[in-house]
Amino acid sequence: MDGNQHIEKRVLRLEGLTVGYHINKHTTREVLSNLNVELRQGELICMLGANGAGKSTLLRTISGVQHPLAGSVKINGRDVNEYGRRELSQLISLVYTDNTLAGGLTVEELVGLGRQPYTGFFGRLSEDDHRIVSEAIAAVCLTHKAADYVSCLSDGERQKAMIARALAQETPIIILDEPTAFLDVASRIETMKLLHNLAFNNGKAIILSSHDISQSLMLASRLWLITGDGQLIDGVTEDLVLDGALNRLFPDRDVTFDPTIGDFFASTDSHRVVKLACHEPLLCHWLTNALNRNNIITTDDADIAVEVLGRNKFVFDGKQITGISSLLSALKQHFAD
Amino acid sequence: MTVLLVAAIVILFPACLLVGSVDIPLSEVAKILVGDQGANDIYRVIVIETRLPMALTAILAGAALSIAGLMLQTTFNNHLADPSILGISTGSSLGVAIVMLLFGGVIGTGLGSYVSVLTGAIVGAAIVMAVLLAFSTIVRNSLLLLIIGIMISYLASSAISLLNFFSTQEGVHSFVIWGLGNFSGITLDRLPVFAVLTLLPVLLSFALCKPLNALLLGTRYAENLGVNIRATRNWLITISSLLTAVVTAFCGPIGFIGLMVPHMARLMFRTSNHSVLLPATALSGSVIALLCCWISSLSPTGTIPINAITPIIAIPVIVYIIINRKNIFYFN
Repeated sequence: MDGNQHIEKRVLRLEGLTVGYHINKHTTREVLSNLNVELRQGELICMLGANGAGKSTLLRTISGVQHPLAGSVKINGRDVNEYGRRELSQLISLVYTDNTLAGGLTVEELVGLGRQPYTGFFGRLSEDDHRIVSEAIAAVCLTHKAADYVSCLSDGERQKAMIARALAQETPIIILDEPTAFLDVASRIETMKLLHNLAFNNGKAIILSSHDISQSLMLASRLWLITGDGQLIDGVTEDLVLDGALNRLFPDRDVTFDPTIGDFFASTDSHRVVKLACHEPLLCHWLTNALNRNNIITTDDADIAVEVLGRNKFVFDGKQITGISSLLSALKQHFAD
Repeated sequence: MTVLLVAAIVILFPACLLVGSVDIPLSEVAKILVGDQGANDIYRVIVIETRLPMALTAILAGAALSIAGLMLQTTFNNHLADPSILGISTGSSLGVAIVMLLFGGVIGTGLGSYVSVLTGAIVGAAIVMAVLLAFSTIVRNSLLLLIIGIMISYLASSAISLLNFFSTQEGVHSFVIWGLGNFSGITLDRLPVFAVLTLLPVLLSFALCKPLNALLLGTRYAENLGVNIRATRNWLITISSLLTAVVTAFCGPIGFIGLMVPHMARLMFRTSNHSVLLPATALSGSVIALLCCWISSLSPTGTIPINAITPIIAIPVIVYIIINRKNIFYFN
């Protein structure tokens, strides 16, 4: 199957959903209120937000673990809390980063646990179950490790094994709470790419929370931005980037979203400004980076200018300068005077 | 591995019948066991009435305590959980102490006194388990929960000390003897009762194999796999406190077997999968208890208390596991 053919079907819908906690009998603490969004088959949704903004609370409520304060979560039109335990386990699978005692199971046994919603009293796997387990392991590229103990896997492989377990559960919806939290860059990218493929090629509806802005912007079909003031902004990734919505993620923090690079950076407000006359975008980007690091901002209406002639040739203050290091020294000298 | 364990039982079981304060030759023991009428009558009484029930008790008690330990380790998501560490044995002891010291003073031999001691043990164990469970919903950290278990254990111990302080000399004496642990307190005619009370919960535990495997992933994952967490936990707690209480009532509070044996079974069978681990743990538990039973009978001057032997066998194993946890396959 090539391309996304399942996009039509809506699987999950939040209707006037308010999530939060009961502090005691009479008082509640609302974390997010009156959410109205939906999730379709084949969509990968990345939920972004500051720590404590309510991402995990929302995920718990969507998966039926926690009851909403108001409104409802509907899966295929029916309230999530109306489903029986077993029915729900065939609709939503979850992936956490919890520590487990599963180190002494083989990858195959671990993924086999994903078949529990379908197996009988003693959990014995049928031939069909075994086939589904092997396919799930193959889908996350761990076939060569199927017989290894989970404890022998790297963090990235372990996360893939947990995703395979979710796949073996054969649910239309997969929810992951910070699936890339403890992974190195390569594993982070592989895991995100894997999830993207599962949505795009296999029609899974996936919601994940993440702090990895750049990967999320690259692969998410939609973003759910949890703002600091308890709102959820839902939209196509690129729309949100271009509309500047990402700056609402950390309203009172000292960071700014740079839409050209697609990530957050420390806000710079310096009175040291220069104009950079440069025609090569790559060089221009990294020169700006070097200047910003030295607390110098580039704007087009600055009084002083640096003319870029080539990779290592600059003209500043009428003098020719060779090398980025020398340029920075010259600029520092200039601003110090 | 199964063959090895069965072979160990086949060797240790007759070995337990051979040793004791009276020397009985192997040929006589064999004659008695096959029912040869020519065997010495005194020897027959000793083997059939004392040593045979003791060895059988060891087999059952070892399996029961080990299964209880394994279930607690999975329930509390902690490899160091066991009935004695979590204070369940001590809770059981407190129940027994209340019955023995407050009501009777001395353990009678009648059925009524057995039933009341057993009831005291079960109630004590169940109360500690219920308290632990209540704490487990508040204290999510399993190490802290373990420490709470140890505290509860101390609390129960101090209650026992107070009871002892205000009790009669005979009462204290019989309680102290009981507290040292022994497999020889069960007579041949009471053995069926003990067998039913231990084997039934052990068999029930096998029925919990599927949710136990799911619980290896922690309660959140298990819930997502469709496991009814509350019902499963209640079952696990009922069964493990029943197993602990029955063994404690009949044999005294026996420590460390429940902690060590599940590790031994994991290491020998190289898996954490409960469908293999539960029977493996039961079998290993019987072997270790028989070994303790045999050692306890080696002294010619009388039976050595079981609780003097179990730490010598178990603690080196546990320390080895703790030190080597990075190289042991089932640790993360």
